[in-house]
Amino acid sequence: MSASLRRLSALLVFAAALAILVVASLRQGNVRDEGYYFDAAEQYSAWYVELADNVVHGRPGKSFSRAAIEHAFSYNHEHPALMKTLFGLSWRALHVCDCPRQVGRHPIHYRERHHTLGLLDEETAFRLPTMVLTAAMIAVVFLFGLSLSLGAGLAAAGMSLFSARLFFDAQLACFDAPIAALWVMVVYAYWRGRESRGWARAAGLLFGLSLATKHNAFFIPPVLVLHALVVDWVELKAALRERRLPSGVAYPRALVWMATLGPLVYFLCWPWMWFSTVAHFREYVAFHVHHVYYNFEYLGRNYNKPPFPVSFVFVMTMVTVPTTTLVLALGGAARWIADARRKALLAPRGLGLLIALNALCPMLVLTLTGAPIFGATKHFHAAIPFIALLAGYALVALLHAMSSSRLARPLALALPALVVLPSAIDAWRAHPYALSHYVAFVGGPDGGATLGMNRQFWGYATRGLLPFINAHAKPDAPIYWHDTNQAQINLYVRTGKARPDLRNTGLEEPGVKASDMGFVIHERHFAKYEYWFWDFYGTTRPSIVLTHEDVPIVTLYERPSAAPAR
Amino acid sequence: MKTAPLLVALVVLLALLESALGLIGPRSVATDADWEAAARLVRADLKAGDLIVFAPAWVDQVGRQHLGDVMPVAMVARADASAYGRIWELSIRGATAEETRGLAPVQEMQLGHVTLRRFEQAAASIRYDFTAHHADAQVSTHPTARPDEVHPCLVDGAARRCGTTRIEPRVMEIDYRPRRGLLAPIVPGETTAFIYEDVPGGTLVGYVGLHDYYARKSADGVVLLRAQVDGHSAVTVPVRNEDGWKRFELPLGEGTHRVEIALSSDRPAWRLPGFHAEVRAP
Repeated sequence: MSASLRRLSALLVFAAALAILVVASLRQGNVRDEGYYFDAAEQYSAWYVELADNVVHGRPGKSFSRAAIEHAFSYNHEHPALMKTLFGLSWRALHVCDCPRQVGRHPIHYRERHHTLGLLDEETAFRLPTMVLTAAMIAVVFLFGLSLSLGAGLAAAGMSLFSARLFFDAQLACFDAPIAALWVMVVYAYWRGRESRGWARAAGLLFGLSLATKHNAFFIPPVLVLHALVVDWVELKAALRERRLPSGVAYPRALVWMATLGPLVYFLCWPWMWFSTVAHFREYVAFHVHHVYYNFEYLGRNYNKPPFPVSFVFVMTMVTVPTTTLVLALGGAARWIADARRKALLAPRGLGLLIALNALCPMLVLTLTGAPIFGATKHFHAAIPFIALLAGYALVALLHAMSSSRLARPLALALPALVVLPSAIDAWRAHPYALSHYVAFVGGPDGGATLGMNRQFWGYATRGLLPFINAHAKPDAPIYWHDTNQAQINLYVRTGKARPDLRNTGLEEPGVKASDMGFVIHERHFAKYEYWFWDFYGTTRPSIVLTHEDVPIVTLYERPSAAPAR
Repeated sequence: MKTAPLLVALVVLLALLESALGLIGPRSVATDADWEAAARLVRADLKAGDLIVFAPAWVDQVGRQHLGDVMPVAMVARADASAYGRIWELSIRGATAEETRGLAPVQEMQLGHVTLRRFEQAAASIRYDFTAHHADAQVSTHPTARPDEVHPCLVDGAARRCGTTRIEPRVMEIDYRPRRGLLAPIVPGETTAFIYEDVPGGTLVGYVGLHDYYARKSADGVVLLRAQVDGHSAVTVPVRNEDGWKRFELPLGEGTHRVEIALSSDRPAWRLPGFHAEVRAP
């Protein structure tokens, strides 16, 4: 395939992935963390808008004062600023604005409507950067796969896009899909950078952007260094012995750019680090090293403090990534090792190791560090595209072995589509409640519930109840919103999904007591919230239970004395 | 490669099977109509003292949406199922409830994807319910080291106030399950005592556990439940985070008795014990 055709194909893959994600996101409830990031996005982007204004008026220095930076970027400084800035700029450029009439629903008071393109609702505008990055990642996976074959590229891209948990995160204004996307892009740029100075520089830039997205990025260089050491060992050893720089592809120019340009980009993307850099960086590290242990149900047990089960990442991968993908990936890995041993590779030398290391390392980070498990699979999403690429290698090997068969041509067309089909069905079935979903061989959501796997987290399923609440709540009804934070509610109101008159009675037991309507989002440790409704409402009968297939995910109660007769 | 056609066939089969399961799965979901049909049958033959359960346990909320109006808190947050002579089980996907294990159904019907079964068992006769009689109890605290320094806990609606600590009948979360009983947070340095007079004879069956996952996460002090009958020490039950809903039994002779249940802990932070007890006919 010519270079221009490769680029065009990748562009088509990107466009298709983006279109699918945007359409899917229109039904996706927003999550707790998005609530914080929506607010941060408005504040961060306001600084950039003000900077542009100050530049136009010849006073750019005003934006760079410590006070101005801290005013804009102190909120939610436990995560780097890049994605929140992109969410905010996307929102600022694209949303349909009715901001002045939404007093008290934004973190900033707006006296005038924003001049925007008015193309998207606020929520989609915030989320678009994640979807763009994920779609770009899918295109990169396709390009990676093209090193093997067109079918492998398409299959790997499809299996990555439709992996239900990654598909879920890819629709959110959060960092987990973006960091997975940037991880894949850094690895791709590193790989291409072995032979291209431009790609090596790109690796540095992309690594900086990934650092500015989420701290997972700190684990990328060890993986790439390990790869370089293994693949280029002979030349590296010779260079060391002869006291010279390694030559050819063994010269680690991408790693050099990552070590130099990366931190600079990281620093530039995060204004909060511009003052008291050491103290702020220490605070950032301390937040994550001493992160609070949230609750997470795994195989029937609620974990909320260490030690966490070593099996976690592997079992979670087994029950959330379609079995066809995993079986093919295991087969692909085995075949790749065998081919490498007998020097009969169907792919460039070193690529198999790179993909295998990156399929494994995002998972091992959690396993080896004993980090909290509360994020389900989102903390090792970066593994999925590489698992899909291993599956792609199995596909190539199978088709290669069948090349002399009369079925070779139909198989080359059908098999890539067929192996993506289970993933596509799983993503369709899981949507929009993918965190409650488990793969078909586990029994779907019912199987997950029976195994005692985490039902969900992040309070995103609330959206499914909004039509009922809007229709049944009395005017100014006091409502207990459980795990839904006020920023989430604000966006639901701003986008017309929730009535503006509905009140929020606040947190915990006083919140339930003060409410006439309320709900519990089901996670194992949230059981007591449901019992509070029984005690304070005097009934055990829910008004409505939102389910994913058979499995309850949110249960709503109405105080009998306040409920309308039905 | 001779094995290649076989491997391709296996991959095709795997992908087709997984796809088929993915498509069929949603079709086996129990509908509202299935649940409502089963609920109608239960209502038509429901008697006082019947128990309604759902299986698997995770479908409980869906079941109560259809039958919750005939499921009072005492049933849903029961200590155990011994007091119920008839058990209605509504289940999906071939599951069975723990309350019906070992019992043979006397009635079974399939309503769409919901299976309705009725079971019968010899029901325990409850002579006295300590949670229901909480208003009759003398509730007090005393410094654990000075038992004679008694501070009565004052009535506050259905609750008692022991200083700033509120003791009341509640549905507690013990081992992530609902348990009706008396929630009695430990007062630091104090023992909380409940004295019941004129308790009928029989077998006292009690349960004790630690309420609230967050409290269990935050501390690990052992709580001691001590029971006295007619002034004589009868049983001491240590309760730890992992103990769940811990059962204890005491034989009470004929006639009436003075039963005292006391709760204390050397490490009282975040200790929210609760208990339920009843006297059953032997």
